[in-house]
Order: sequence, then C-alpha cells, then structure tokens
Amino acid sequence: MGKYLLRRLLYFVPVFFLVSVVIFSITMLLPGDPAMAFLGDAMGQDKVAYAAMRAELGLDQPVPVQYANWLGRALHGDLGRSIRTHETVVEGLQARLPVTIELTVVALFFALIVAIPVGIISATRPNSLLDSVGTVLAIGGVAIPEFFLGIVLIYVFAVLLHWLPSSGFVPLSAGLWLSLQSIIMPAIALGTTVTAVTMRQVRASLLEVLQQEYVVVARAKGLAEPAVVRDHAVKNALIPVVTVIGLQIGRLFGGAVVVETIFALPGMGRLAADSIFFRDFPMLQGVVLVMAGAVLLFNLLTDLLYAYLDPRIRYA
Amino acid sequence: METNKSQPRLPVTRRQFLGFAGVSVFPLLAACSQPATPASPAPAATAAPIEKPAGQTAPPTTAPAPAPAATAATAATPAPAAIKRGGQVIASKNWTYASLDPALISEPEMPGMEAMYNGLVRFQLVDAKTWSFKVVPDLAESFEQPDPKSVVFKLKKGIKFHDGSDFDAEVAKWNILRERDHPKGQQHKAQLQAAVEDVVAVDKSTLRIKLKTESPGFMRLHAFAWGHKVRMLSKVAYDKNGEEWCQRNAVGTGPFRFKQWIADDRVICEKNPDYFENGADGKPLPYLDGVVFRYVTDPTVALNDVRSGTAQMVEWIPTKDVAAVQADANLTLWQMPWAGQIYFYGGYNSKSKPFDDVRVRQAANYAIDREGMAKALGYGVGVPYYWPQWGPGILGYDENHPKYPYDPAKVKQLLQQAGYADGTISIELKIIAREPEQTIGEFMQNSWTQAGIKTKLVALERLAWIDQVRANSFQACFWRGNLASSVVDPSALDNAFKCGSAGNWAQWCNQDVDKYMTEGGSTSDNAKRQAAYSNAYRIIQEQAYVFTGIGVPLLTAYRNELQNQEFDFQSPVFRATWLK
Repeated sequence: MGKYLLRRLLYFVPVFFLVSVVIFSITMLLPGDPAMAFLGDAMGQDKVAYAAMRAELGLDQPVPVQYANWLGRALHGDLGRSIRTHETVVEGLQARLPVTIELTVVALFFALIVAIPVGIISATRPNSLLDSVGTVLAIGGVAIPEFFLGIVLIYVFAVLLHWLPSSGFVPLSAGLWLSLQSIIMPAIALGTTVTAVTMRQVRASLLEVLQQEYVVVARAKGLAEPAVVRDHAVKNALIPVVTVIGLQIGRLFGGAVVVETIFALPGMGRLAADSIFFRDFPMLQGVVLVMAGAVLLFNLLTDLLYAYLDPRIRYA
Repeated sequence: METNKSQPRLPVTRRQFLGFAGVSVFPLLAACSQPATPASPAPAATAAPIEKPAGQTAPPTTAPAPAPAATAATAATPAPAAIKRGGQVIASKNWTYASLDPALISEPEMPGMEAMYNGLVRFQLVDAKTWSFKVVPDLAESFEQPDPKSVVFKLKKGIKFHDGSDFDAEVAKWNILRERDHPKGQQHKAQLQAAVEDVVAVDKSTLRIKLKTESPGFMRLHAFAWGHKVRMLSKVAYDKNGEEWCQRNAVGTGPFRFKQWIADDRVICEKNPDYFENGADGKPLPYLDGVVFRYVTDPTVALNDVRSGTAQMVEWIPTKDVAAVQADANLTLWQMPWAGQIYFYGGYNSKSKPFDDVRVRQAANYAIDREGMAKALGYGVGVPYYWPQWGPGILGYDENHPKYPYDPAKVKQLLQQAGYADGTISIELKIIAREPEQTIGEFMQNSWTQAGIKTKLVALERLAWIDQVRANSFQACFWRGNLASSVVDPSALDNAFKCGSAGNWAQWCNQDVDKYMTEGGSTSDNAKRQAAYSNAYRIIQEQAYVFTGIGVPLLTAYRNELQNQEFDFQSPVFRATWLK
C-alpha cells in the first residue's frame, strides 16, 4: 500500500510538468496579449506604452525563455505575480481556494445527502411513486443548466423572499451560519447535476446488488429487508458510486466557473475565467496547476477508498 | 463582514413558502426568465439643453438626453434633523480594479477612487436637465488663471492623508509630475504630457502649474476622471512602502479610508474620521460608516443584488434593464446622458478597398438605419446618434455638416459612382463578441445588407479583435464611443481623432484635422475655438472616416434608502450620502 501511494504521488510530477507545458503553450497560442488588456481601449493604440508594457511583463522575450523563467521560479515556490491584480499568484490562490473548496464540499455534501437516500429508496421500491419522483428529479437535475438553476434560486430566495443574499461570499471566519447562507444557493446550483448522476448510479448499482446470491442468502437466513439492504447490499453497491463521484469532482471544478460567476463568488473558477479573458498567464498557470492537482488528489483518494469498501481489492 | 441594515422584512414565512412551493414552481420559472418588465417600453427621451464651457452652442435636438421622469437631481443640502449617521452601503460595478494607485489605474472612474482620494478640483453637477457642471475646489481652496499659460491653486491647510502625513504643495507637485512622467502611466499620462510644462510649489499652500500652450479646457479636464484629474496619494506612504504596495493599498485624503481589497470581489472602505469637510449637521463628513465596492461581472446578477437589497447600488445598468428598474418602486434610476455611450461607434479602414474610396464610406454611412436601431434597441432611453463624438452644444458642432440620414437610394448611387455598377458591395464588419455589440452588429448587418452593402459579421473575443484591428486587418469595425470627453471639452477628442492617437482605432489620418484640433485646443478665443473645431468636424463628416448609430445614457440604479446621493460627472460620490 505504501509503495502504491508513493508511486501514485510520483506520477504527479510528470503530470504537473505536462500540464504546465500544455497550459503555457495554449495561452501563448491565444490571440491578444496581456499588455493590451492591461492598457485598455483608450491607450490601446499607444505604441510606446504598449512596448513598455510588454517589456515590463517580460513578454518581449522568446516563449521558451519565458517558460524556462517561469518553471525555474515555480520550482522555488514562486509562481510569479498577477498581471491583472498585482497580487502574487500564491496569495491569489490562497485567497480563492477556500471559496472553491467550501463551495465544492457543500455541493458534494448536498449531492450525497440527497442522492444516496433517494437512490436507495428508488432501488428498494422500484416502479413505485417514490421511484418515479426520484427518476423525474434525476432527469431534471441533469437537464437543467447550472446557470439557469442559479438564476431561478436567486430570483426566488433572494429577490422574492429575501431569505438569502443574492450573491457574494462570506468566509467561514465570519461565522458558520453567515457563510452557509452565502454558499447554499451556489452549492445547490453546482451540486444538482452531481446529485442526479449519483442518484441514478446508486439506484442502478443497488438494484444489481440486490439480485446477487449473497443477498438472497441473507434474506433466506430470515434477515429483515432493511438489515439486508443496510448491512449487505449498500456497501457493495457504493463501489461504482465512488468511481462516479470521483469523476464528478472534475465536473464540479468546471461548473464552479459558471456558478462562481452567477453568484459573484471570488473563487478559483471565476479567477480562471477572468485570467483567461485578461491573458493573465502567471495566474492562469497557477490556477490550472492547483485544479489539476486537486483532480489528481481526488482520483487517488477514490482509489484508496476502494480498498476500504472492498477488502478484496489490494494494490500490489 | 458588512451587514445590510436596510434589508426588508420577509414578506413570506418559510412555512408559507413551502406550503405554496409546489403550485408556484411554473409561474416562478416563467417569471425568472424575464424580470418584471412592462409590455411597452418607456417613452422616448426628450431633448434638453446643454450648458457647456463658454463658447458652446445650441441646445440638442438629437443627442442623448435624460428621460424626464427617471432623472433624479443632485439632492439639495439636507436639513440636519433629517440626517441619519451610520450604516454601510454596498455598490457594485462590472469592472474590477487592476490597481489602487491613481497613477497606474486604467479605469480612473472606479467609484472607490472617488471615495478614497481627492483631487485639486472636482465637478459639481449644477443641473442634470441641462448637463450643466461647474468646476469647484476640492483639495484646493481656490484657483485662478493669472495668464493663459498658468494656473495657480491655493490649497486647503491642515489636510492629512489617511496615514497621518500632511498634504501640501510639494506633495501635490510630486503627484502631478509622477502621473505625467511615470513610465507605466495610464490614462492621464498622455494628457498631462500634452498640457503640463512644469509644476512649482510656490509655498506650502500655493501651487502653480505652467501649461505648454493656452489650454482653455484645462480646468474642466483637470476635474474629469478620464481627463487628467490627479488624485493625491500620500508621498510618505509611497516612500515608506514602495510602488508595488501602493498598487494594492490606497492612502489618500478621501472621506473613506481603505480597509481591505479582496481581489475580484470587493474593496472595503471605512469612514475617515478626520475628513476635512463638514456635513449639514456641523460634524465631519461622511455620514456613512463605510462603503463596499463590489465587482459583479454579470449585469443580471448585479441587478438582482440591488433588487433584493444585497447591494444598494449598481452602476452601468444595461439599457435592456431600464424598464425593470423603473418598474421597481424601491429603486431610483440615475441617467447620465452627458456621459452616455455611443453604441455602434466605429470606423472604416480607409487604407484599403473598398473603404479607401470616400464615396463608399459615405454610402455606408447613408445605409445605417439609426432611427430603426434606436426604436429596436434603445429600450426607451436610446436615441439615434448621427455625430461621431460630437453633439449639439459642443464646440464645433454644426448641423450644416453632413449628417447621413438613412437613404438606400443614395447608397446605390454613391456605390455606382465609385465603380460598383450594380450598386452593391460585400464587406466584413468586425465586432467584439459581447453585448450589446453582438445585437447591434446583427441589426447593422441587416441594415447594411438591405441597402446593398452585403455584410458578413465577424465576432471576435475582445483581445483577438484588438489584435486584428491593430494590425489593420479589417474593413469596418466597431467599438463603443463615449460622449463624456467631448462634453467636458472637445480638446479631449485629440485622443480619438488625431493621427496615431491612442483612441483612433480605425487608424485614419488627416493632417488638416490634426491642425484644426491643435488650434482649437490651444487658444482661449472662443470664436477661434468654435471655428477650428467646426472645421475639424466638417472634414471628419465629409470624409466619413467613422460612423455612429445609437446613443444611450450611462445608467445607475440605487435603492431608495440612499439619501442625498450625489454623483460626480459620471460616478457616485458617497461623501454626503446617508441611509434612511
């Protein structure tokens, strides 16, 4: 197990390197440059100011030199300074990461507390009214785009009812309840698709497990149905569900771009979008590295969870 | 964390809501798709006279004008008993700060700048209906122009920066020269370089600015954020902490002190207890305890914020939301036609075919259905706009110059004269892929095509558009113009019309226009100014280098809890605002 963990962690190094090369190449291929974005429309035609700004940002050097300079600094923990906001990239990431982590965690929590019980009920009462309602909710959850659901939530709970703030983020340090108030609508908007997907996966997986011979044996031994489901079926049914949830983490990060914009949350997703539009290369590289790292980490955790859920799984 | 003391009571309890949730889902969804909007647009704006710098002419007949019912006037001095101190205002805008250093900010009208910093002078709105402003002292006690090429400011005494250091003439001199000479200087640099020869601190409270030429528009441009207004930064803070620090922290003399900048989210400011102005109650301004300036990219989200009470003000409302704001009894709509946007303001590539022929450019101008555009896309506040950056009341404006009303027959005739036998051509129009450019671009594509100029619309991401236009790789392109500069003083248009100027995106060049613009900006004789600018404007119109379509006012919405709300030329000012 230790060797497996070490090997997986070592994989991170080439993956990070490749991610950095790819993101550097892609940003350089994009039309437009940050010097122009920085100068704005009014100063855009001032060739002297433009040249000075390019030199100031180091954009007048060849791309490989720019990359080598960046990589050298990054290896020493210096990811550079944002062209757009003048904060260091590390400071910028430190400020935004908690927002996205809180958003993602609450969204995932919301998804799991809804999806698992509803999925279990749907599987144990197939073709019942509850199953039909669960199916409709799941299809609706997949079909409704995050931005639309976000706007609906804002209109109902903020504009009409005044129960929740329509946008903005309150950090946990200001109080758990205040923070939750600011994050609950974005988390529901972000987590609904994951809820739907997970719900369907739980239902399908549990239905399959409930047909297995060991479950029949358990019933034959005279165990009550709730005990059969709870003690014998659910744990095994969750193995493919864990895979799906692991894969959904990347989706949550992607969805955060939209949701953070709709709810004006200063998180990683919005930072990525703003950095792209402004060609803020140093910040964009930092954001992508962190997001890539997070996805890799969650995939690793998913693999490790397999071993916990199914002791037959061993990592050589 | 900021609190919103004005948040209304819950109109519905959670229990009531849950009880009715099931039956209300579909109507709510329908409602969400379109916020409360009247079936018909608000009545079209009416004309209003413009009061301009000396020498300017007639009242407008077609330029953007305030909608009468919706325009609030700057509040009169309040009765002391009515004033309520305390509370915090949250204002939002869809633009964020790149820097808090006034010399390096690329968006000088950011509202927080006005709250944290002062300049020597500022604009004061005299009458919104006549677009009348006067320049009044701010950090200056008074100012005078002893000769046409110098301005002398007497400075207020005893003013301190937020770090406790003194403001005096030496600090003012340092700030002006720093903005003029900074290698990374932004908006103000070129204008200061063109205007200011030298700055002399005569004594601690007297400052003399020597001008390079006679500059009749100097004082108005010095009060104008997009002109060369210099906001005063603490030199002590700069020397102590360095420039990088000053980009992330603001140390000015304004009514609010900088507290925190959460990048891409908000700038939090708190009351400056040592502010130098007193309120109507005899105590120091400001009345508020603090102001938060939020960055909200999506205009729908921003509008929902102010409708729900999460924020109290939102700047730069899209015209499509005017009806929704006007229908909300909790909101006031503040219209600033003098700072209005000229949507569909663009230019032709006069260096290559087909627009290297003036007849083709004129034909394209005749093919713009401005009346139809205003009717379809003006949402009750937009008006047809015929005059590139110029308008009635602005020096040099003359309705005898070519106007180019919509005339398809004239289009065909001009194209045939230019050698296109069938009276049609095919062109590309490059726009930035965002609203309202996209919608207006589609309207124009239809308008031009119907008149015989078959138009292919090319929508590009903003920086890609800049790349291609800069490289002269376009036939026609459009951006957004702004009326504000010419309303302040037409000499500000040097940046848009002179050869090689930064704002001249279409890169046309006419030496005669340059000559007349220079003449107009360097004499105090109003008759000469009028003649010079009229000549420049006549050439621009005759040559049809640029085109226009629709003008709309700059719009801000705020909740009615905000009392005594004032505006600078185009930005909200919170120094004397209080919350009801």
